[in-house]
Amino acid sequence: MKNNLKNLRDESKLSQDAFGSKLNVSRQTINSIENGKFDPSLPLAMKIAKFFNKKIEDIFYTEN
Amino acid sequence: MAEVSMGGLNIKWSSLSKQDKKEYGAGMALLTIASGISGVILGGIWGERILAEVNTLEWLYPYLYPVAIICFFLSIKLMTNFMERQDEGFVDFNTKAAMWGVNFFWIVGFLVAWPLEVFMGFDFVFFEYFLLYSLGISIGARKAYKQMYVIDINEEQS
Repeated sequence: MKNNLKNLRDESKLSQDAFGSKLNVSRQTINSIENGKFDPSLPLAMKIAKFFNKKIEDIFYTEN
Repeated sequence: MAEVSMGGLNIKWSSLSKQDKKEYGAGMALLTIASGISGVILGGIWGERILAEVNTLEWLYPYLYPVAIICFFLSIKLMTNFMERQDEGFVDFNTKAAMWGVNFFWIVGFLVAWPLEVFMGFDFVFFEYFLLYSLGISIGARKAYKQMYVIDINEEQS
């Protein structure tokens, strides 16, 4: 699973730590999601989408 | 939210909240006591291996079992409370490490240690099987860390 979380976060001018605090997850979790090392659960993906006011599929997508 | 450190082998203390520190610290202390009693004393290390003579403290064993069991269950309760507050990345990391520990334990224990004990007369005790589990968890933690976080080393925070 790929995502454009890093771009969105950069646009919001939030550090991984600050963004993690807003979602109640750790900086390491944000980091591993951004790098495609960890796929978030549906509730967390929805939280992220809601935070950026976007649809989940606008943030997360498959390589194909 | 808890973060892992030391390449996955430890928890970053500064990342824990006050309640996390209290429950994790107490949980680990109780688990150490339970492991000390069950592994070292009841598990076969204390006694002839260390003392080179028949253990004279055997009368104490019936009293030590309940202490170890109570400490173990209390630590499980505290650690469960601690884990329930952590995020899914941390839980996923720990699940992967624990699965490695369990698999390493039964594969090496069942295919290597147990046959050596049954057919070759080696004398493994509970403590040594527990070491297998610990070793498996450590290998699993390193592997999970590399898989999930190794890029973290070079990643800028912004």
